[in-house]
Amino acid sequence: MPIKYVLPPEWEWPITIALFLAGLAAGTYSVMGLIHFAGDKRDEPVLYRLGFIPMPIMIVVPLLLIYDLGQQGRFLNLLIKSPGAPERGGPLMFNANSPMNWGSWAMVIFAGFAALAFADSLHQSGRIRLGWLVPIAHSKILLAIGEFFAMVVSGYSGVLIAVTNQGVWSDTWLMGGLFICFSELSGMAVAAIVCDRMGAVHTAAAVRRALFTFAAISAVFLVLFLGGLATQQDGSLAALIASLHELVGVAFWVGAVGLALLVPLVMLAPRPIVRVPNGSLALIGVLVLVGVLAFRYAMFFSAISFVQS
Amino acid sequence: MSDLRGMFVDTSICTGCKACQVACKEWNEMAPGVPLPMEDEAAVREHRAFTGNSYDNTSHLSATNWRHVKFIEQIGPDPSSSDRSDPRWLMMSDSCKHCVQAGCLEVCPTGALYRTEFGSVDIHQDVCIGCRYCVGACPFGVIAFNKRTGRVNKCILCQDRLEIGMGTACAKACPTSSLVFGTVSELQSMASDRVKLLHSRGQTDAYIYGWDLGNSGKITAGPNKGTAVKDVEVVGGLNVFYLLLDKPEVYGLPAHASLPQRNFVPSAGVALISAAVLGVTGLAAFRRRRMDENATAGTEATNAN
Repeated sequence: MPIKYVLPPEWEWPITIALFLAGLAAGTYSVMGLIHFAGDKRDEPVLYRLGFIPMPIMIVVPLLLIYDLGQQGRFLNLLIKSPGAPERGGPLMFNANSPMNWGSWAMVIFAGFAALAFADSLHQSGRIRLGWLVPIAHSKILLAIGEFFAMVVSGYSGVLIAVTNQGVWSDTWLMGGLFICFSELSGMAVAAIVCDRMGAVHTAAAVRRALFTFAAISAVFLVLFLGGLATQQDGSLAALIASLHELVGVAFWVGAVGLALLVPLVMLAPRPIVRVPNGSLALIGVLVLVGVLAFRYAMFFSAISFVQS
Repeated sequence: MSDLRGMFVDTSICTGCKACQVACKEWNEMAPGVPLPMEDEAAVREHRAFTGNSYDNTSHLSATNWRHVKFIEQIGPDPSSSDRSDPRWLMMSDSCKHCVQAGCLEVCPTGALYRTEFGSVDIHQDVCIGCRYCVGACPFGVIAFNKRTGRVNKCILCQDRLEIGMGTACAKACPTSSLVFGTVSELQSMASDRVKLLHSRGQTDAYIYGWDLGNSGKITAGPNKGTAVKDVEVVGGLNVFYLLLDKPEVYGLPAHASLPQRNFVPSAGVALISAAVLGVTGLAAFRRRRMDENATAGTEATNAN
């Protein structure tokens, strides 16, 4: 197996949490887009409550990345060229071959859309009058662009780890898709919690259906991912299984498979498999969020764990 | 292209003296470092930990070991049997290969890794932010994260020496000319001649790892005896390349190293498809609610009539 020849990148928990939170913010923004494009007036209270969520998260994400890198300037050098960079050609840093650059810029641009949604929610809540902002915040074209960047933020970390030579990560093309699925799942879980807390029965009906559908799509992607690894001759599935021990294994099987996928699939099925008590949508949402965090942890540390084993 | 500098590592005459390792550490003023693995912290502090692998005391390349001499003991034709009649000891001085297409350089998000005028891959320490992306991208496990500086390190082909017309410190120190510094084209020619010479003397297992110069042979000893081998061009060619006497895997080198970028477009494409699927199904979930409501309203209206 060629995967033993590489060294693990030694990414630690701040990276995992930062990318989970970025996916959560992007997923929440995506749900807002769905409501904008396909919802109705009765969904607006939930829509504007959701608008408060992405921006604060997008403030925390760079703080975690700065903590991981050790210095503030190092994070800025992902966006602005360091004076010592050998290849000049403009003040901005962008290497089209590096998914990390794509992701950094996507997060910056997405943070702008998150700020716009936050300001719109402030206005709609009556706390600040920003009437001039409404046509901009509700522009379908801007919303579509914001959705695009939300999707990039959702999935870029999956593409990023696929563009390495680490076992498992680089043995599949599905990593980016898988990360988008779980990010959108987390966004819908946030919507489920908000609906439940607000008693928004009308919106909750659509959110339940979407959460079930997203869990089903994520499950299909996960099966394709495992199946794809199994068909490779270099034993990638064996490498993954070997890496799934101790906490990583618990995170994968209990968290990613159990909480993030099976819980919504079983409890929100159109023909209920188990009887779900009223008011349990928030609980399902919380369990899914824990599962998505566990998924991120398991995926990040599966390859690292294998190389170190 | 004739200005490209590199090294030819002839493992057939490496004696494992580690002079190259010492010269590298001395010239680059690297800390002594600690033997790895580091389970025994007390032993590590006192620099007396054992790797348990032959005479290897640094285990692998690291942030403070930019060169590493590998010791590969092949005791008899079958390692699991007690037959020790045909032992051989392979040694290889390993370092960054300064790939012609370097994965580390491609993924670096700050431009810290760059190609020098000599064709080698250097790191601007001031520009490196310590994101560690290059560590996972290198197919050879060469680049390592230095926890003390928060940046990455690897062999830089003695860039400071090259700039003043000198060769690399390791090649200068090598007592058997196992490490030879020079222009890549000259080294290729030298390597090809060396393989032909070895083959003519019956050492038919010699071949080149890094460039396909057209040589092929058959392994003559060890567990892989009889296996056919031939020159391997790796990731578009290596400016530091090797003459090997056994399969690449035996030396800890991947037989099929590849660039990380091979996954970029396909992976991004699948991500876009999944985004589209999720978007459509999400919209459908909200639309269907409206249809359900309309159907319910229609049923109620019919019942009322």
